[in-house]
Amino acid sequence: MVVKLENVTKTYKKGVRALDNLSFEVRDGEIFGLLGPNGSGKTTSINCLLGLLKYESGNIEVFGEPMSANRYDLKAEIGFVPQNVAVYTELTVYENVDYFCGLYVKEKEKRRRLVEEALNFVSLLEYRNVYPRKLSVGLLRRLNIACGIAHKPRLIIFDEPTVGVDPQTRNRVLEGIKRLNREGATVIYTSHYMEEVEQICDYIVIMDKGKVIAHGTNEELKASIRHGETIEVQLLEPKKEYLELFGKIHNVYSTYYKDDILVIKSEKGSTNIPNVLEILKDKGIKYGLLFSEIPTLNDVFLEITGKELRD
Amino acid sequence: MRLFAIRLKMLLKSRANVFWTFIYPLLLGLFFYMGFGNLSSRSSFATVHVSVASDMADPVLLEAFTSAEYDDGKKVFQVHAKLSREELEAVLQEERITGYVYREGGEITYRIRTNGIGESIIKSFLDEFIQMEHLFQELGQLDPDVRAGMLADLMKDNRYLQEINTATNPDYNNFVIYFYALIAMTCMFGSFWGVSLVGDLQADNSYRALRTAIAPESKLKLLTIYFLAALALHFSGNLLLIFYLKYILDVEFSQNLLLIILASFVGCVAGIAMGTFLAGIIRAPERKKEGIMVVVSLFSSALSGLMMVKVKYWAETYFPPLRFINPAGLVTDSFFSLYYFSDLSRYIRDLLTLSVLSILLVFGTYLKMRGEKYDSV
Repeated sequence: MVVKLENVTKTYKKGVRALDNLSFEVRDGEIFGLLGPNGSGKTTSINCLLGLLKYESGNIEVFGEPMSANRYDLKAEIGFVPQNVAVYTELTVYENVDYFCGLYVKEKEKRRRLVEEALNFVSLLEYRNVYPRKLSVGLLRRLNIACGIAHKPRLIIFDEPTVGVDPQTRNRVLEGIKRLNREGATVIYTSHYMEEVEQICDYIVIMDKGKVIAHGTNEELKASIRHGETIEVQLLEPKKEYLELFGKIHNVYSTYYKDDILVIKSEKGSTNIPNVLEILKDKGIKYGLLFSEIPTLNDVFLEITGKELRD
Repeated sequence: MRLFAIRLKMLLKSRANVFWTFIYPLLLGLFFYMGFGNLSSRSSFATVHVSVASDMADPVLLEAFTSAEYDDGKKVFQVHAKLSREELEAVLQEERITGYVYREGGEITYRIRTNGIGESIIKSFLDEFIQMEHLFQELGQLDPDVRAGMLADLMKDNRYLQEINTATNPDYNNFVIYFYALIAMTCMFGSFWGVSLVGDLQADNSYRALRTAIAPESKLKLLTIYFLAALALHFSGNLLLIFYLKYILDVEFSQNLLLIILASFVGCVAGIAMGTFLAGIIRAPERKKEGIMVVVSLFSSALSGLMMVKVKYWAETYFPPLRFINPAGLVTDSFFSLYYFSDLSRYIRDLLTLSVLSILLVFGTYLKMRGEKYDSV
């Protein structure tokens, strides 16, 4: 086990309970996703895990050893990419990576090689002599990552690394994380973007209000809920009576309007698209688009908490 | 060494740091020079009012007091009527005399109300008198009358007065004090470097500090390296200021420039240490800490007499520990003692106290930051 949190409880000074008996484990070699809305306790749990935050109770182990602020041997094996860009504006791209890498790697030649590799990994070699102020948000994010991974840690923690970045940079970041994992690093990835977590994580813990509300693989989580399919139909003349009409279809458990779009939710089983199309045709209901969606992690979250992940 | 070099670069790249460390003191020095330049004039000491206890029959000492003169022929002391100890204490507290002399256990001793130039003159005069008296007692074979006469004659020698008048610099000049004050104040600016270095080490202060805090590097090592880098720059700034004042503006310091530089160095250490300690114990954003540091620096500077020399003595009279815990006070005191006394004992005491205080402050900061866990980051 690379990381083990056991019944960790953390309350901030104003009485806000950020972690409530939180427990989870991260296995060697996996990409572990910590998913939850803003304020659910993801970053707090990471900061406790890094030995930065005080917590009232519980145990935290990293690589099988109790973690504390003075466990330099454990810290040496951890890389961290914080949510906000954490670099020195007074240093160039190369100097920033070299500085942070130097806190872990003392040998000059080895460090030089690692810094080059990290810059190459995030495709920043051509910006090596540029100061951060002159970099775009996307490039800064890549620099932020390079600073956290240059020393080739066994465990890399990414705390919402894609907040505020364009889709192209986001894809590049996610690809990079998968590559780091393929090269042997265990990854903890926190996000409130379910698509990202679904895309890269082997195992997912969903958090809300400082607690684990669900955990498992992507497939296991989706299989754990009764929801099976969401069909959305864009109606040209939405009528209230249609809600009851479509609600009578076998397995449908919820119908509602989202603007002019009729949303039909069905339990697991065979798809209801043929049934919906038949009613539309029989009743002569005019419609534009119709599409079907398989369950997402948002459905998992919605079913457990009654609210959307992005609420 | 690598971390030290990188840290130096970081600090040098900060325009605000460079301005406050290198440019601002020079500008202030220039303004001081322009403002006080035409006030420069030779000064003379005022006559010091002393009294002697009524039970003290010591004609030689009385003769020495009454016959001492400054270079310009003015009397050094105005000796008032002999009074009882209780009466003397009363007039001393009423500030009608600067000090009085009495015997205790056969030894000549004195009592002064506070610290100041007059008090220092009494002390130095008596020290020399006692030294002479002991010397003559050791030469016991001389006739007592001859001995007394020689002692009184020797004390008339105004060599003693020339010495107190800044030893080898006869151009005693009030406005030089302001330049000493400027150097001392610049030393205290080191507190801002202290805030900056702690800001880069405390995880709850910034994301880059957070990143540094999770690295497997000892806080003591980083604190030391960051401190030394800040000191290197801060002291360079102070050296630049001293040389600028001495060689560009022609400010006449006491001749021993090395001692001024040494005091400035220890002052820089103390300034950074004070900032480091306060920034370490205060839980606030860096901007707020800088604001607090401005208030603390100015307050401690004011208490050390940077604006009005007398404030220092008032403050230290009403709260004596201030003499040992106010770094600005110790820095100014070391400069003033260099200026006023040829004897280095007070200067050395100030620097030692300042050094011990700095070590305690830095060590206290380390204890606070070592293995620190935060309530929130």
